[in-house]
Amino acid sequence: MMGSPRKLATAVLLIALLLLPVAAMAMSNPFLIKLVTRAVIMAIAALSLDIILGLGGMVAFSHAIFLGVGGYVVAIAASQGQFSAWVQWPIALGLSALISLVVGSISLRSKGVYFIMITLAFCQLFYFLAIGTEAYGGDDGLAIPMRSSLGGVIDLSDKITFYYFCFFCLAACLLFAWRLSNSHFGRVLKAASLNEERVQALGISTYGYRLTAFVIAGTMCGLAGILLANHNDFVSPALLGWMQSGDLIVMLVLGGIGTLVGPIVGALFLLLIEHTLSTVTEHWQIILGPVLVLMALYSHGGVAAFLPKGWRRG
Amino acid sequence: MAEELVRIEHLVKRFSGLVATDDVSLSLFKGQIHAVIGPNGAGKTTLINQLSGRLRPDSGRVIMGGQDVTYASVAARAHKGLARQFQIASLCYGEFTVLDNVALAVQACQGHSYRFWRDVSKDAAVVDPAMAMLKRLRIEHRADVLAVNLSHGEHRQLELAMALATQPTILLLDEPTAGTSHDEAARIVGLLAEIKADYAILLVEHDMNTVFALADVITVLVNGQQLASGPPSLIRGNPAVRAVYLGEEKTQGETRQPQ
Amino acid sequence: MLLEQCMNGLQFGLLLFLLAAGLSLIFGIMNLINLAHGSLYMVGAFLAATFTVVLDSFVLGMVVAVTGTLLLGIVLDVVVFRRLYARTHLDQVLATFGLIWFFDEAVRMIWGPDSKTLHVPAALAGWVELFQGIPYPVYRLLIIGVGLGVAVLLYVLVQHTRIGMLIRAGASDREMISALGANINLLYTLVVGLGAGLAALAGVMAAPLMTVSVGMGESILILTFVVIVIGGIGSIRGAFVAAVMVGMIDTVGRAYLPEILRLVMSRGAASTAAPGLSAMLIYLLMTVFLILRPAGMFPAAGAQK
Repeated sequence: MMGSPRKLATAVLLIALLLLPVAAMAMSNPFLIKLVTRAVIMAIAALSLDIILGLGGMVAFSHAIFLGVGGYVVAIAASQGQFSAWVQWPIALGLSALISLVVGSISLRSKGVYFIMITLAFCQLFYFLAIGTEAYGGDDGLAIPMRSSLGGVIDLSDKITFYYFCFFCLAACLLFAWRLSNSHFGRVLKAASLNEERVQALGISTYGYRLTAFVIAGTMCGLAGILLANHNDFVSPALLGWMQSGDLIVMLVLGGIGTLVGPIVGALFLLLIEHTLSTVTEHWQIILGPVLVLMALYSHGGVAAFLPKGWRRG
Repeated sequence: MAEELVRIEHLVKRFSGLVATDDVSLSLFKGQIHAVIGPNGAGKTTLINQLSGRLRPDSGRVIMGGQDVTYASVAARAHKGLARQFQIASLCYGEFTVLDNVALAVQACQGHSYRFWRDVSKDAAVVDPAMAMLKRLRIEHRADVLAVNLSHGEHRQLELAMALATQPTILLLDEPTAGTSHDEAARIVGLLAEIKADYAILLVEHDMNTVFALADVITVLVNGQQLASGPPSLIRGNPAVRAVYLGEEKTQGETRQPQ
Repeated sequence: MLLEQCMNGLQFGLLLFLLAAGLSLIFGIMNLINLAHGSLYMVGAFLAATFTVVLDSFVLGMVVAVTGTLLLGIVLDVVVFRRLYARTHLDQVLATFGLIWFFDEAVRMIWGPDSKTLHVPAALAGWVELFQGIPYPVYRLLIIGVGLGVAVLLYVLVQHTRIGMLIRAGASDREMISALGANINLLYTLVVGLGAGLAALAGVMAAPLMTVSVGMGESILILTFVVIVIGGIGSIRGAFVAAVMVGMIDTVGRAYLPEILRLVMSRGAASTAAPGLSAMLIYLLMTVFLILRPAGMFPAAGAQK
């Protein structure tokens, strides 16, 4: 159900990202690579949120939890001398899945405003957990002495290799998300977000589908957390606050919900803002704040809403 | 002896002081159309809501196929073969087309939908039955139209298509001809007459022509109470019913105002 | 010691009540999820910090702060909220999140990035003897008094006035308000103004006890949400009971958790686990509560949408 213009836009963007390191080296600006790596990682996080927000219609403020879980598992393992990705990452992803199962199963029993507030509270719960755990840095966070080791050819401590690894993860997640949205599962999820009562009346119990989506999204975000920790060589409770969950939502909305290309656009856009606008004024939030308000009041779909009609869904 | 698919026993429902359903009992048999009529506010939709699971009765029982489903969820009852057409059209709008809506209904009765990879719009097992159902309702030419762009009559037809697509045994129809043109209404009546042998149908209707054309049994509901229940001839002749209801209804029926 | 902690818990709970009561009504009547409520709390505190000094009077400074924030709330309602009532929760979240960014930055620009301090005036800085010679700060007693007073006033407002009747009707059935012939826009603005005033009052009274800094609204907002979730949306009575409960458990819990933990763990483990666990305590409580009672203690009928 994706229009050809949007498929084209996604392809163009992916190719541009693919060629970025080449361009950066040509411009003698290797710092650009590090910058865009972060955007690619956040795009994965935003994409995972799109699965529950864009497809499932669930406004969840709990997503930052999984950035933290993914990151902290890597950091804690590293602090114990365990650097192998083959040990760290399955644990990180497994824990993300488990926690999203627990958080989701409790939160999804509520709807609307309750759901939003409950996911907010869960986010804070994990934030305080991270702060309170003095053994792993507490408020100050935890440094990661060495990046995850995949063993053999792929060396994640090399800037360019790491960039392409993240890019590959993004592409894989995009493919999965695309297939998911057109699948039986995706269709039920979308229908439930449009008219829950109708779907129940057809005999489909929506809770199970929503919970499954929640777990899938949480695990994908855990992957983003793993990559982010490696990128920063550092984790801290700041990853986990509810404002971080809000940032992800903003990123997704700016780029365009449910458009698949939206998360990438949003992540790049926000990155651009932070790094260009902030050279102009360090108070850029006072401009972006009202922009968000205006967007919420007058437009319905982020940047995608400003595209010509044929580009948008429907 | 016809198979009894649904039985309601002494159903009571109160809304802070107002008794919406006052000791109602009836049965739905396979192959039979049971019409429920009554003035506005008589509690017809409340009755359907208790049958479908949207509301819990304060007392009384709902029994489907021998099992007590009084406290079962909407989805559970639908899964057991109960299909409902809503009075106020309730479809999946947004970017869903007519075909998407019926395909969803087909998906719903084909086991679980925990399939994450295959494109459902290319899945013949879902699309073919959906198109067949659209053909049956004579709206296949509108398959790719967004549901939100349908005319009122087409809405009702799509709702009926979705209800039938889940392969139910029991149909709860809440004013299926409301707001439709003369031709559309006639088509729906014709279809119901055609298919009724396979289902137990509860029909809530205001249009007396439809009721007397289709119903095998009629229950008259006034202020939540069951005034009378029986075959059409009996109801037509019942002086209490005539006084309370049929008198005003006959005038409405003659002028045939759209709802 | 226990009595003192309980009093502190009551005091904190009443501050939470001031925040939760207004927000719960906004949720219940207008179905608006307002993330910027904490920002009003913050603005109230900052205004108090400045005007108590400028006007050289604690009371006057407080009055200006509360009034100013109340007016700000009304402006927000007319300019932003009014257009959000009919929108999806996502739009509301987006808009009010943008408002948080705006207010955080505006405060930073006007007052600078450093935190401010507000001193309890000399007249209220003393101690008073509770029972058996236990001293308790006068200022905290004042907060308790004001909090309880507001609770009583709100009760009278909601139960015994026409506006209160409209509020109660609106919390359980929104269409009723227009059916009763009331001006919806005016009612909504009044509720927002009331909520803003209460939030500012909380911010102003809390200012001397906590640091007045940018972002102070964000942390207390979530605790307010917990109170509303437990108490039930749209219910002032629920907000009161839940707020006092949450305030007590949080305060007493933080004070005594290390000792309780020491009963079951080694001394080292207890002191490691205690700080994190005590902050998490309230959220754990909410989780347990939700498992048992998803709609809150006193849900206004039909408010869960």
